[in-house]
Amino acid sequence: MEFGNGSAILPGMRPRILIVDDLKEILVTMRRYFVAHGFDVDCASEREEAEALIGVNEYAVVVTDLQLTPVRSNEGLEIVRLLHHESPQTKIIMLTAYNTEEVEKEAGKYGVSSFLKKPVPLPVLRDAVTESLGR
Amino acid sequence: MGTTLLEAILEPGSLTPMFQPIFNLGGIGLKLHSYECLTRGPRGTSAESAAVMFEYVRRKREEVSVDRACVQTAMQAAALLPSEPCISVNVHVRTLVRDRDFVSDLLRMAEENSIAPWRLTVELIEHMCPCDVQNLWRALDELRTAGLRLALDDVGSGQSNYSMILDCQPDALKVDAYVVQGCHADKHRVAALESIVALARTFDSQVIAEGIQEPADLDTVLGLGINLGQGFMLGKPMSIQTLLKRSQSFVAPMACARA
Repeated sequence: MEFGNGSAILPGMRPRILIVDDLKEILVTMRRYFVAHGFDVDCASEREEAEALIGVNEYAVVVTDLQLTPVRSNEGLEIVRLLHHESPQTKIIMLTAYNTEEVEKEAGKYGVSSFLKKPVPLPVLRDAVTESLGR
Repeated sequence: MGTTLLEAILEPGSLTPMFQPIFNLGGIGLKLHSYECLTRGPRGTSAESAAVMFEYVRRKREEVSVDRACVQTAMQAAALLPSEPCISVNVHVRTLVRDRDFVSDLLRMAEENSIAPWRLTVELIEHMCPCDVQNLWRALDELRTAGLRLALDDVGSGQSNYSMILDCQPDALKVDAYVVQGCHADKHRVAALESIVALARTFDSQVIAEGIQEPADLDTVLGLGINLGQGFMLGKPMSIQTLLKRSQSFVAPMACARA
């Protein structure tokens, strides 16, 4: 079997980011926006897809929705936990329409750098991504 | 919500088979030993990368359905190959353990595509220890009885370890690229390769070096008595169309029987 690998932030390279949201329309819009602003963008619409991408590639930043399906709630936190253990250098930005203090506290424990309430204007999200990269 | 990635993977016609040659390295020039059939997922999705697709499939615990789809795709494409080369297909150990009909269905797919069992090797891949060894042994017996050969994939990494070698007693050990790459300049990698070669001798198994990318590594594995290899330096995975164009330049194998 073959295995690929990708590096996130080598000098001179575009930062590689992963965007996770169950709404494909949002992913299409975000991908277009961030590619236009100099990022390499991967997208995932399921938790397992995001986890697989994180297992194979390295990301400078992961932007994830908290709730990825109506049934399995707070799956974004599972992604955050995985990143905390397997890719602690990756910056994490969490988006949610229903954030509670409890969830925010939990996410903070696993190194989430920003917690943004949806809907988030794209320039605001880009600022958060840029800031998390220390730019 | 749109289509899930799994649904996209299982959509008929969405998988692309790719064939990577495995060569006999000894003697003058390279001689084709067999082709490993790899699978790429749907274009324009994360699963276009095989590594991502199979990691996703394992996390979804959907190895059975996707292995079935990959084997079906491989057989249909392999049926188009000239001169009836040997081919290997990847199957998760978990699939063999869970799906009691998998082997009979694999044999049926082979027959439907006019692929004789002696041409087939099942490459066993595993990322979790099999919990039901009895079921695994039953499936492996069925494969052997039908005349297929067994290879253990990724030896030296992950779960392809001693217990898997003991449980599967494979005809071939495929040494993971992690062990092979850079071996010409690393005595520890050489030691690992030597131990695998010695182990294979005891089990009467062949050794196949994966991921050969440098002439110096090729020389080293040959020096250790490893006569089978694959890697980008020797031949990249090719689509069936490319392979049909190039197949004239390879020497067809006489047989895949153990040397």
